[in-house]
Amino acid sequence: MAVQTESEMKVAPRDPAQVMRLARLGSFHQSRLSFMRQLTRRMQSEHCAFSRPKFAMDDAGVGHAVYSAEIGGRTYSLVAFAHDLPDAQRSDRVIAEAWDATFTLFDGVPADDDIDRLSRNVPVQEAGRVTAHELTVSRANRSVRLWNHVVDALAAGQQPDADQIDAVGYLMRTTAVYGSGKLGAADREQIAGRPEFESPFQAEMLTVYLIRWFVRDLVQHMARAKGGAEAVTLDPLLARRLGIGNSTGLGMAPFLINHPVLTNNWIAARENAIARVRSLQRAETSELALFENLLARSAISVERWSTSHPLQAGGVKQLDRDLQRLRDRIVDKPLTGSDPWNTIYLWTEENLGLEAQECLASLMLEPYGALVDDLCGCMSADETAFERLRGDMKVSELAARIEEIYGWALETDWADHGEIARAWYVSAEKLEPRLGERFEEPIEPYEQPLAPARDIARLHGDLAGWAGDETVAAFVLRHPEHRHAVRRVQVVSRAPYAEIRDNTISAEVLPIDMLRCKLSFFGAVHFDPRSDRWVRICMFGNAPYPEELARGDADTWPYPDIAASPG
Amino acid sequence: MSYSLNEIASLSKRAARGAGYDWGLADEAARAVRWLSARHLPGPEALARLLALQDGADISGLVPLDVQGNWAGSSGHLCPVGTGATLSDCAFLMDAGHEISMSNVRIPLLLLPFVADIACQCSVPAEMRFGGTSCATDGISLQTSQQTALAELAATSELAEVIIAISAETGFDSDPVIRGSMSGEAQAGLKRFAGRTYAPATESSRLLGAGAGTSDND
Repeated sequence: MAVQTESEMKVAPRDPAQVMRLARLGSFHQSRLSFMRQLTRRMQSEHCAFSRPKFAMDDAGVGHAVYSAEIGGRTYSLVAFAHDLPDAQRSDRVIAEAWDATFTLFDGVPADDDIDRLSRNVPVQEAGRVTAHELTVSRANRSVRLWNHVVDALAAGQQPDADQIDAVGYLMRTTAVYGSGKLGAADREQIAGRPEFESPFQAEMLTVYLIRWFVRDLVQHMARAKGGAEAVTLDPLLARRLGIGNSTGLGMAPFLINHPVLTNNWIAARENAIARVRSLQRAETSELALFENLLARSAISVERWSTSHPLQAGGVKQLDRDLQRLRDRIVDKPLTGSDPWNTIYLWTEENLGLEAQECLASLMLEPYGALVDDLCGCMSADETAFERLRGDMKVSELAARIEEIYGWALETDWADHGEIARAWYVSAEKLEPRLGERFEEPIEPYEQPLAPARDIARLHGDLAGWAGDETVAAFVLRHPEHRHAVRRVQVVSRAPYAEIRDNTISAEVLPIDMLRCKLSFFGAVHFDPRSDRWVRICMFGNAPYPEELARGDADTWPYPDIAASPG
Repeated sequence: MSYSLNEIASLSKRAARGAGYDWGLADEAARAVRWLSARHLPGPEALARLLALQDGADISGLVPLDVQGNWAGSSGHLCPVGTGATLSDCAFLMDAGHEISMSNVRIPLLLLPFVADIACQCSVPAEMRFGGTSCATDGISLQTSQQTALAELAATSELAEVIIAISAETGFDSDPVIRGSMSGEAQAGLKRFAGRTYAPATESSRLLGAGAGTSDND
C-alpha cells in the first residue's frame, strides 16, 4: 500500500469552522492516535518488563505497594497507598480531603526513605508536596457497589456477575491525575526529551495503567482476606473488562482554552490522519476485514455504554441505530470500489448523527497504522514559541485575521444576557474551578479569561478607532486590556484548530463537550455525564494487563472481543 | 524551598492579576518570573517586591509614553513588566546600532527576561547596561562571568538609567535549569495577592458551581 505525501492528498483536512464546534468536539471518539493507545503500542513493541517490588496490605486493605515498569531503558514506579475511607467522606470533587487510594509515579525505583517521605505527603494530596523525583500525583475512589460485589463474590468462591461489571466498567475511578509540576512534581520539560514521554500525557497514562493492575491485585487481596481458602481468583476475561474510571469536572474544562497550540496539534494530527485515509483510492481486502471486525466490536462497546444522562443516553441510542445503519450500508454498497473511505465518510455526514460521524472517522484509521501513526509525533507542542506577541503586525492585518476566524463572534450580541450568562471562576474553597451565573452571583470580579470570543469581539471594536498601518505594539501599549486577546488571535492565525468556535460563557454552554474532546484524545470510552459539567469515563477497559502484553495484539483492545466471554 | 517552574509561574500569574494587572500583562509577569527562576535568579522575590510597590497602581502611568526617544512613564517611574512587554513587542525596532534608553525602571531584574525576548526575536545576543556594568543573554543562557552584575541587578530597587542594545558578547555558558526556588516570604506575599482572584466560597456556589450534585458513593 503506497504512502501518500501531503501534496498527493486528494481530500483536504476538514475545515476548522466545521470541526471546532463544541457539539462536534463533544462527540469525538478515541482513535489509534489516542495517548493510551500510543502507550500500549510502545509497551508491547519494546517488550517492557514489569514487576511488583512491594505489596504490603493488611486485611482491611490498608497499606502501600510499588509497581514498576521498565520503558525506554528507564524504570518508573507507581507508589500506591490504600486507605480505609468512611463512606461519608467519599467525594470525587476537588474539595475532597481523603480518598480510597492515593498514588504517585516515581522516576526510578523508590528507596525506603522515598516511600517514607511519600507516605506523609501523597495521602493528603494538595495538602502535601512532592519533588522532582515524582512525575505524577493522583487519587482514586471505589465504585462502592461493584467493589463490594466483586469482593463478596470472589470471597464466596464465585465469579462476579459480568453484567454488573459492564454496568459500571471499573472498580476504582481516579478523580485527578496531576502532572507537569503540580504539587512540586517534575515539570514536563524534565521528561519531554525522553522518547517514551515525547507524546503528551504518557506519564499520566502510565500511572493509570499501573493503577489498574494495582486495583486488580487489591480487590483480589480483599477477597482472600474475607474468604480465606474459599476465595477464588478473578477470571482473567472478567478482569480484562475492568478499566479504571475517571471522574472529571471543571478543573479540566479550561485546558483546551488555556492550551491552544496543544489543542491544535492534537486535532490537526487526527484531521490529517482522516484526510490521508479519505484520500486513498482503494482499500485492500485485509484492511476492509479489519475495519468491519472493529465496527462490529464497536457496536458491542456501544451496547455496554451505560449512562443515565438524558442527552448522552439519547446520543448513545442514536449511535447504536446509526452504527447499525452504517453496517447495513456497507453490506448494501461494499467498500470495494474506488475512494471507499471518502465515499462512506461523506455518506455518514449526510445521513448519520455527529457521534456516528466521529466514530467512523476514528474507526477508518484503524487499518492504516503505517499511514498515520507518524502523526503521533506531531501531537506535542512547544508553547513558548507562541508566547511572544508579534508587535510589528499591522492593525489592519490583525483586524482582517479576526474577521476571518472570529466572524461568528463579531455577529454575536455580547450585550444579550443569554450570551454572557455564565462566568468561569476559581473558588477560595480549595481553589476549585467553578462555573457560575454572572447575573445571579457576585462572581464577575473574579472572572477567569475563558471567553476568547467575547474578548476578541471587544478587541475588534477598539481596533476600529485605529489607523490600519499602526503597529500592534502601539495598540497594546495604549490598550493593555486587549493584550491577551491580541496574542490569542496571533496564535490562532498560525494554528487553525486552536480555537473553539463557540461561545464558552453562554447560558447553554455544556462544559462536558470540552471534557469529552480532551478525554477522547486520552483514549477514554463510555462517556457518562453526571451533569452539564461532570463526566465519568473508563480508561484501559479491555486493555491487556502487563503479563498479557506479550501475547496477542496490544492495539485493538478498546474494541471488546466478540468471542471473549467468561466460561 | 524547591518548586516546579509551573507552580511558580501559575502563582505569579494569579498574584499579578490580584495586584491589578490585566490578564495579558499577568501572563507576561508569570513568564518573566519563570524565566528568571530557571536561571537561578530570584524571580518570585522580585515580583513580590514589585507588586507590593505597585499594588493597584494605574499601569498606564508606568509604561513608556512614547517608544521613540527615551522611554519614561508619566508617573516618573517605569514598571518592568509593562515596559518589558513593550520592549518585547518592539523587537522589530532593534537593529545593530539601535539602543533603547529607559529612565527610572523599578525592580529592573524583571526586565532581563524581556531583553532575552529581544535576543530570541533578533537571533543575536542582547544586553541591558546600567551603572557601568551590563548583563547579556543569547535568549536562553547567561554568562557565568556576570554573576556579580546579576547579583547587583537583583538587589536594585530602581535604576535611574538603563540602556538596551544588541550585544557583542559571546560565551553564554550558564544554562537554564528545570527547577525553581521561592523564599517563604515571597511565597506568602504572592499568595496574598493571588488570594484576591478567588471568589469567596458560599454554600450555593459549592452546590451549583461544580460537581455532579449527586452522591459519589455509587
